[in-house]
Amino acid sequence: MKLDVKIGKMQMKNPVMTASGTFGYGQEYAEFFDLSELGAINVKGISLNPMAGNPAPRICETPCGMINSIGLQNVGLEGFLSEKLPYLRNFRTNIVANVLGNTIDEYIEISERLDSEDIDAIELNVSCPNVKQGGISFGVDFLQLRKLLMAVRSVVKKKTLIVKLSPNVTDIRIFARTAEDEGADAVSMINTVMAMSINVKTRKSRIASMIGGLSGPAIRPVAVRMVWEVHNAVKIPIIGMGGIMTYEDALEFILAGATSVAVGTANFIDPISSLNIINGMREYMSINNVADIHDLIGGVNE
Amino acid sequence: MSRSFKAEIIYNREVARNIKLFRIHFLTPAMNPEPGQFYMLQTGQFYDPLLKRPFSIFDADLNELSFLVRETGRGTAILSHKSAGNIIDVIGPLGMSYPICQKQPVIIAGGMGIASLFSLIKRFSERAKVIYGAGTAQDIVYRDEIESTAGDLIISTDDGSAGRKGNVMDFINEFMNGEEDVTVYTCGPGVMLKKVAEFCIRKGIECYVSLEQNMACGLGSCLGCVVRTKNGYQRVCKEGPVFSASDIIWD
Repeated sequence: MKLDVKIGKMQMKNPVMTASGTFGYGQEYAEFFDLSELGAINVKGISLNPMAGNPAPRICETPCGMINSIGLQNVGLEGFLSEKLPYLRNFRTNIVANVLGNTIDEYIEISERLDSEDIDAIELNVSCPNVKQGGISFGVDFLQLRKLLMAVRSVVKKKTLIVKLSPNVTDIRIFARTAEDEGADAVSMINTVMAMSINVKTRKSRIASMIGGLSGPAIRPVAVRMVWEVHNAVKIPIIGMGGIMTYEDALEFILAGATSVAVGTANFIDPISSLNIINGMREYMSINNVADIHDLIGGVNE
Repeated sequence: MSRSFKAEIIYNREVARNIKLFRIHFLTPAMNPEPGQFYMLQTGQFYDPLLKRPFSIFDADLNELSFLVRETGRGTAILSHKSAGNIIDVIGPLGMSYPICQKQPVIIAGGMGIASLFSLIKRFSERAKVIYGAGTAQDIVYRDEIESTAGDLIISTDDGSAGRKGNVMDFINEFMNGEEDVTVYTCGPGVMLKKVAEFCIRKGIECYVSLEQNMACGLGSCLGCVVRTKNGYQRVCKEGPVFSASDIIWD
C-alpha cells in the first residue's frame, strides 16, 4: 500500500502533516508519540525578530470550533535555527518552516536564510499585515501576493515553496492561480476564517484583540469546498486543512483534491490525533482495496 | 506511562451549592499528580464542546483522582451531569506544582480556589495555617476535613453565615507573626489574588499564586493561556499555573 506523496521536492512518507501554530516546535508532543511517524511537521510561524504576541484572553471556544488571536508569538528566526531546529532534526520527518513578515524585505530575508538551512519546505504565511501598504494582508490582495511571490521565489532556489491561502477572500481560486503562476510548488489551505464572539453579559469580545481566526470542525465544509474549487483551477498540489479531526475528515480533503492534509486544532484536543489519522487512512485503504493514496486524490464522484 | 489516558467516572456528587465532587479512576496506568497541577478533562462527545477543560487536582490516591466542578458554562454543565460508569479522555498531570517550602505555610483559599489548595493542605497537614473564605456557608466544601487536617483554620464568609464575617484580607495578618518565616500559597478570584499578592510583595513575604486562563491544549503548544509576567508572556499551562506572585504584572 502506497501512502507516500510528493509536495514540490518534498517526499512525504504519508500525506499527514501538522498545521503551523498548532504543534509548537514539536517538543510538547514527543512524549505522546514518535514524531517520525508524521509526513511532515509544520512549525509555529517564524518572524525575523521574536514576537511577544497579543494580550489575553487569546482564545475562546465557539460551536465546534475556537477563535484564536495569538498574535504570532514566536522565538524569531535565530531562535528557531539555534534552539528549535536541532531538536526537530532528531526525527525522521520533513520540517516545514512557516514564514511571516511585515514587509516584502522581511519575507525575503527569512526565506533566503532558510533556503540554505536544514529544512525541507518554506510555507509563506500571507495573512499578516503588510505594514508598508497600510496593514492590508498580502493574502487578500492578489497583486500584493504576486509582488511578494516574485520576490521570494527568486531567493528560494533549493527548497519547496508553499503558499498558505487565506479563505477571507471573494474567490480563492484567483490567489491559488497567482501562486501557481509565480512559481509556488504548492498551496496550503485554508488558514483560519476571520471571526468574532461577544459575551453579552460583559458586552466584551471574548478575545482581547476583538477579532481572531476561527478553526476546528466548524470551518471544515468551507475548507473542503475551497479545496475542491482550487483543485479544479490549478495543477500544483494542495495541502488541505480546516477542522480535520479524524481520518474520514482527512479523506474528504483528499477526495476533494488535496494531495496532503494538515491536522491543526485536533492536536489541542488529542495530542495523538495525527497518528490516529495516519493509521485510520491506512485501514480505510486496506478495507477498500486502495493500493495508492493517489487513486483517491480528487476522486469525489460528480 | 502516558499523560494521556482514559478514566471511568466513579461518582459525581454535590458537595456544596452548585459544586460537585467529580471522582474518576484510571483505566490505563497514569502518573501521580503534585499539589497545584491540573488535568484536561473531556466534556463533550463528537467535538461539541470541542476543547477539553482544565481542572486543578483536588485530591488523589491510588488509581483515583478527584476534581471540584462548578457549573459555569456548557462544558462544566455537561461534566457535572455525567454519571458513574461514563468514560472520558483525560490528559495530565500538567503544569508546575506548588513549591514545597520549609517556612511556615499560610494557605489562603477564596471560593473555588480550594480546588487547587486542598491537596496542598493535606501535604502540609498540621503545619498548614489556612484561611478559607467564601460567599456564604453553602459555598464551603470539606470544612470538617480541612479542620481536622490543618494546624490552624480561619473560615470566613462575606455574610457571616459560617466562620467569621469578612473576606480573607481581613484575617491575613493573624497568621503573619514572624513574616520573614512565612510562605503564602493562594488561589481564588482574580481580585483576591491581586490583593494577597500586593500584601505579600509589600511585606517581602514569599508568595505563590495559582492562576487560571482559557486553555485550548494545556500542553504549552497553542500559546492561548498566557499571563503577563516580568519575563514577558508566560503560559499558565506550562510555566504555571503556579507562579511566584512577584513575577506577575498585576494590572
